[in-house]
Amino acid sequence: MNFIELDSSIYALQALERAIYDLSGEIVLTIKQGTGHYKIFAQNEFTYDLRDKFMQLVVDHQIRAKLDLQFADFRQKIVERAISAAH
Amino acid sequence: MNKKIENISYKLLPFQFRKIKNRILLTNDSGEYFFVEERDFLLLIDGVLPKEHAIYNSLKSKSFICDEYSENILERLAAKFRTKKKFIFESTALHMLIMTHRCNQQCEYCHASSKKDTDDLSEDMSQYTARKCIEIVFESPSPSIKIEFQGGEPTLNFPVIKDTVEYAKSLNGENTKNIEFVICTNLYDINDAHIEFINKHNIHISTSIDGSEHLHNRYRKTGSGRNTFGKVIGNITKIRNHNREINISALLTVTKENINKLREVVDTYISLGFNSVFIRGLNPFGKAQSNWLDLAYSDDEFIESYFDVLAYIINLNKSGIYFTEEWAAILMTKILTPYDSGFVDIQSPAGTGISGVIYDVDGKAFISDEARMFYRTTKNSIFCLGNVNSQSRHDLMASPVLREVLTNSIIETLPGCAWCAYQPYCGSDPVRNFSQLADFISFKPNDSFCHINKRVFDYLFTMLSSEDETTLDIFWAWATGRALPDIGFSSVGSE
Repeated sequence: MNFIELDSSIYALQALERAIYDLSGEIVLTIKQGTGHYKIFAQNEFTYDLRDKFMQLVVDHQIRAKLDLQFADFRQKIVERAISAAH
Repeated sequence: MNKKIENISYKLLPFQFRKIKNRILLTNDSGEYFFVEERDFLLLIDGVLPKEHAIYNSLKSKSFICDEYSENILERLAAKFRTKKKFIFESTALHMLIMTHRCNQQCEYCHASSKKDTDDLSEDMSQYTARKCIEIVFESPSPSIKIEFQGGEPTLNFPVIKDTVEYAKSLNGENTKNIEFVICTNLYDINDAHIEFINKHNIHISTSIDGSEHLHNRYRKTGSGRNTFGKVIGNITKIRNHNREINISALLTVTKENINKLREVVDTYISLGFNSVFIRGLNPFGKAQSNWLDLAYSDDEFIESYFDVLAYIINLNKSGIYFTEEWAAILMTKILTPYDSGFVDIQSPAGTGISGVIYDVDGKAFISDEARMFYRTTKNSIFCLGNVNSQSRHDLMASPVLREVLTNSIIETLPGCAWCAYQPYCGSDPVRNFSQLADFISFKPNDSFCHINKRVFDYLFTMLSSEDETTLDIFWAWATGRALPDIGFSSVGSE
């Protein structure tokens, strides 16, 4: 099989895209969105090793995506405060 | 209130993370780091880490979390962030003047594509242009200024160096700025008059040593093919005999020839009285780019040799020989102290233009040394800010290309960097990216600079987490530029 299917109610698109980016030096993966799922295609076979590697990246990026949402406003405030204090 | 909820009411503060072996490294924007076990990481991000947990207070003191007892957290983080990014607010400190394109050596890897030593003075910077550069330098609001004379071999245009130093000092009559002068010279033809002047004006010397005699002579030859090691070492001795206080440092160019002999290189540096070495990979500019296949090596070869020599240097320190590897020291300054190292090649936004500017012999100003080399190789002037002979500093700094380069070098916003745990300590090199990819932003999965740095960071953080106190002491000494005994270190051999 050259693709895996992931539930789109569980996995964030951003997490999948970032995992694909991280692996793109080694392998070309493409993503297609269906109803309720994403299909991730590999050029050749989607081996178990590749799946493990990809899923580990997805899980980490899923956490980052969730954290980034929490952090975005606060990060902006830190930068704004740092700049205003410097002038 | 429910006791359990009361017990876990903390808020996560911005951080990145990375798995190293079986632990999770946390880093935040102010450069703090902390290792946690995977199970604790999951508790942490789920918001259920108990206050009684052994790591709770450490996470709080390092600003990974805050709770109702954390005061002024926004102000504290903003102050830390401002300290890390101080270079943005201080304006250009490093000004490099190309005194001449002529050189008395013809090294096969010359990044600057220097020309043979001829009488063609059109390859030299004129006194008029050098003075214009200095006037621009003094328009910079930076309180500290470093003026570096480069080439070619800058001492071939020594009368202009002399005039430039004296002119800079006259403009700084009230000592309003702290000025440091550096001559980057191969030390092949330095004479007594040069040494006298260098000593009088407290000018630092930055030279090049590629290792022992046979390693150095492999690529560093005169235009007529003569070896240079003996004469250079003789001149180092002559300078030290004049005054041991004259500061001489040396740069190493790592090539195929010496990459597997870096321990030997370190031994040579120590025997010559140097207390540091900078293990830097070859840059793809100038003659190095043309001769790349003969000179270069793979990323893996570089990394393997780097780790080997770093371990060797750490062991030398443990045995009581204080010797620094500069790249690790720069990274350790970023990791262990609240400050940036000031090294312009690894800043975000890039130090190009805002931390350092280089002025070519004809007065053209470029955003970095690599940008000037890129222009000399390709005649593409994309990184040229303007010309000091016809423009003010304001004109140069308002150049649209500078704005575009800087906007595209803020790694906090770049793909691959934005989610990297090493982002608080890393930087971007838009000139190198452009020279290789015709894009200011590199594609990280294929980026050699990124691959190497990530592995170096992994290695250094693994050592930091190893609880080997003597290695930590050594890193602290390197990061702060202090001698080992000053931080309470006594060598293993002396115990």
